[in-house]
Amino acid sequence: MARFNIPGFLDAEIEYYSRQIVLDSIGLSGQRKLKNAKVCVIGLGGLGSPIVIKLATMGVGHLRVVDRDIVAASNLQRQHLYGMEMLGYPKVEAAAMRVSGLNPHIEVEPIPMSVTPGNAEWIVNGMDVVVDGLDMMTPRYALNRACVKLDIPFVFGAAITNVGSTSTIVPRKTPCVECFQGGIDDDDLPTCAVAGVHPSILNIIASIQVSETVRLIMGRKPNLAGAIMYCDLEDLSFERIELARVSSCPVCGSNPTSEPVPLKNNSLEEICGRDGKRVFVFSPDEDLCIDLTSLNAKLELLNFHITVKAKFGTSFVKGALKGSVLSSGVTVIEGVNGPEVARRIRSEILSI
Amino acid sequence: MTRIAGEKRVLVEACLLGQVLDTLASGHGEEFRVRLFDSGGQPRRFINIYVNGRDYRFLDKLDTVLHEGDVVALLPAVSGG
Repeated sequence: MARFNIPGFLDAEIEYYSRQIVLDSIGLSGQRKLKNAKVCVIGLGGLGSPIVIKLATMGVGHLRVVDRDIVAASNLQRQHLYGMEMLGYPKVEAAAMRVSGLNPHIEVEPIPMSVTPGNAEWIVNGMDVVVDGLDMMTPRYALNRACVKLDIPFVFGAAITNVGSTSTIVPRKTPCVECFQGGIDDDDLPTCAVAGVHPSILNIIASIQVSETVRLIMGRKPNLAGAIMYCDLEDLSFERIELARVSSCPVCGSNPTSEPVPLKNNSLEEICGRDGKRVFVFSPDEDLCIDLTSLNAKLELLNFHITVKAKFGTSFVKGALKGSVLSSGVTVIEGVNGPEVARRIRSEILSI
Repeated sequence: MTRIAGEKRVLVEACLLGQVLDTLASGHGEEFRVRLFDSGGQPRRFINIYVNGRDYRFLDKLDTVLHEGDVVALLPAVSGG
């Protein structure tokens, strides 16, 4: 016999969320809004991990999780969605498994893809909120443009070393990402592989992003709509800068003076090295729907040693070379001399 | 840069944004200047500069005219995650 008898909720859900249902800011009506919400988290790394854990355990009913990467040992220091047993697995798959263990009452939709200018709209379409867990500006710009076009709020977040910043973009109401941090070449900014990152700053920024996301779902004005918060862990300081919309912004302005700058084609990128090796990432715009069974057979034929056979991808090694192919066709090749060698190996593996 | 300058908020007298940056650079030593400007004398792109909340790139850049009470904010552009 139902103990709580709340329409639309199992007793187990009411018990699960009991510590937030009693909050004035959420309540039962808010919990219902969370359950009906669809949120897309893009990037399941240092920010994405705590964001997904919190949104999942707060009861966001549908979580679309997007990432192109596989779990590596150096992730575990701060990406607590994953454990040692998940090394080599596609992050979206590992995330979905972890979330199902954390909260069986929600849906997770894994998308093992890169965000590109060609697919950003498709990736975020139908979502109520998009939450930023990316680590580069170019895909953020693609995401920003898609969210502005589709009128989807976007909760920007970023962190490196001991500092981080976050802002909430509400299309047509607040500045967009390219109003306040546009025109940056990713080659000019440090990566955490080189500069490092403290897990605490990731959790602080991620927590603020989750709070903003929940406020949006509740129908409340986000605290950082039209403002950027900058946090420095070294002296635990928080600086809030009010931002203003720019009418001439080529992405969201009411009077744009130019077209948005074409974004770099990121179908082939060299990303920060791992273990001193060069790493190349191939990112198709569309889901190539790779038949992993056939792929695995081809890899074995080519004398690659398969280290992980997962539902959303395969990881493999051969001598100094390591790689992975996701079901979407995203391919990572590391330990080769240059992009042409990486391209040849990919063509051979995928028979394209 | 706060750690180099030793302060987060300063009062500067200037008519143009470029003068504000020059004053800051002159007052806080060579290390601050190198962090702020590239070899061409332009502010480094990884430093966001806002005048009353607007990115200076959308205004008149270093020639942006300032008025009494205007707030110029310099924030590192953070991108990692």
